[in-house]
Amino acid sequence: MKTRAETFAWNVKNQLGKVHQVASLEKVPALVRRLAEQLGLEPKAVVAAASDLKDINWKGLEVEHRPAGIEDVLGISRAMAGIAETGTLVFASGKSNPPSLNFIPEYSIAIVRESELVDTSEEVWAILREKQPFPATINMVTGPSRTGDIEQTLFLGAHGPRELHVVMVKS
Amino acid sequence: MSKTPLDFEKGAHEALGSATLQQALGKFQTGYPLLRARAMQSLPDFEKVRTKAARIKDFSLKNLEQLTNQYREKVEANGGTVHICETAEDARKTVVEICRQVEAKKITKSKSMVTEELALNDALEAAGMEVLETDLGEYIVQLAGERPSHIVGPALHKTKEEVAKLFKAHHKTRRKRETGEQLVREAREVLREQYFASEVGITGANFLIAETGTAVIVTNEGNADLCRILPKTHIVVTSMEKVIPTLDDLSVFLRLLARSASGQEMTSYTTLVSGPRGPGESEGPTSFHVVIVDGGRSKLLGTEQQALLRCIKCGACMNVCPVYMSVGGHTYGWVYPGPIGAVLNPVLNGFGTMYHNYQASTFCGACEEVCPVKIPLTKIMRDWRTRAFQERIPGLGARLALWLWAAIAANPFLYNLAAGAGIPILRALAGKKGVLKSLPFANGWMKDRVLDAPEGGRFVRGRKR
Ligand code: SF4
Repeated sequence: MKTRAETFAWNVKNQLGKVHQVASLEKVPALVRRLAEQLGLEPKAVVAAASDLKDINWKGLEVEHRPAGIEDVLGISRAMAGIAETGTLVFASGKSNPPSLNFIPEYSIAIVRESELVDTSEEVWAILREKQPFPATINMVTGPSRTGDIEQTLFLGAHGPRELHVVMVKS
Repeated sequence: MSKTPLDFEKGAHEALGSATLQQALGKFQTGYPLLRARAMQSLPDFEKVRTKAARIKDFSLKNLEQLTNQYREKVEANGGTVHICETAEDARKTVVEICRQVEAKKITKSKSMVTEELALNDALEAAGMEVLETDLGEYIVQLAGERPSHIVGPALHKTKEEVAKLFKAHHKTRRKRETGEQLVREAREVLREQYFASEVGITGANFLIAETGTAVIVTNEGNADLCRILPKTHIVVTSMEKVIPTLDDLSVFLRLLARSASGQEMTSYTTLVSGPRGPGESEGPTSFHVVIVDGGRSKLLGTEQQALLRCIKCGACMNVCPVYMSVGGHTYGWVYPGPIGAVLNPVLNGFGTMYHNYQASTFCGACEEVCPVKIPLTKIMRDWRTRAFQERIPGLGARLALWLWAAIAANPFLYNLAAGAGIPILRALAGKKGVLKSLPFANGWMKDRVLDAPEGGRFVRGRKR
């Protein structure tokens, strides 16, 4: 029997996303720096203004907490939940979570805590029903952007990110 | 290549003779249907889930008015506006008017078959606005000046080489256009700035949820999301049968939709929008409209064929249809191709004009086997044939022939006599070789076929009571 976190990770990979596991949020900046280097990107990112992402020390990275613009290449967003059944991340729009972070940058890093994982979408609805007001935009993201419009062949990075890195935080 | 529905036969012959189209359609042997079959393995209780889905749709259709009102109230409480339009004309006027009010010059649009049905782009362009399709397939079709040939992959009738040629002609830049990858990249770069420059974003919706006033938009590319987030006005254009009661019901459909459509467990992006941007949000539209079109659908409510309105437009039925795979989507001559088009087009666009659509079937039933909401497609196709006969839509000759056939088939004596006469006649026509290359009254049908002459006698010969 797989644990919920294992099922989630397996499904993210199955949907062509990449999975990283870290012990705590403090480890995220080093991981991002490494990723940026591997991808040949400048060490800078637009980051969701979620309070736990604002609080960490992003040393070695140039970060800005704002919506993504056309020039941004690396975006870091904060999911409210992850659905194990399909490897889906759930984002609720709000003051600190502009949806553009998930769509404009070519490389997308999404952060979710293992404690925020659920089994099915039904459980997400139960959490969302408690939110008042109901979020204007909810993005369920499963893997990177793709298209099959040319000869039924799969290509990644159609309009949204070509790579999706999911960072699972243990504590 | 714009075909009208009455050209079906001519179109079918052209399609069968087109090498590039046949090459593109050949991909259905290895593409979506295989992926679908694989994805279904992770849903072992497919049968149970689709029965549930069909039931939810039936319940929703039965309570459509009440659910639609609930949906509308919720959207209004969230700060959006809902427009309910009876006809395509009403819907076109409503959308054009919203765009005029916000002085739109440029509109980015993501794929929506309902807007195809409305011919919305023509109306917006006639009002002096520029409309850009952003779904890659729709974009290709728009550049080519064509209509979608498939409801999920609008440009699946095109080969890579044809797309490369189109891009070269329209983008007027020099670049490598050899691989699909390069073409996808090029479209991405060209369209990117357009989202930022547009005043209005138009998307479709796959579901409307009454419980929360939410429109659900499902895509793989992420283009609908950019159309939603970046322009100041977001208009959702959709049709009345999309309403379902609750978020939990949505979960049931999400398990079926992507698997049926593209063979994924879940599409990359499933987006739930419930109004304009919320308080304190720095992004998203400041004005939000939902246009819900009837367009003739309500004629089906309460009838024996109401199940047609369960359709979630997944496209699975066309991906396995031998007729669709032979003649392609354009031959159907109107918005919806394949089995679903064959039965829905007549309702929305007239039984006379769409006559050939519901003739285009081998009755193999492959469509029903894959349909995630269990629509009895072949039964409805038969119903429409009966109806056409009653309404005297086929010509007098065809009706007389059918009537004669019915008279003979209903009478065992006559039937035996006719069938008994058939064998020696066919044998005589076949001559020594025993092969038939043509048949009286059926030359069209025999054009691409040869038939062996019957051997032996009939099974029922001489059977005594
Ligand atoms: S009729 Fe069924 S299979 Fe065909 S598009 Fe509609 S839901 Fe899908």
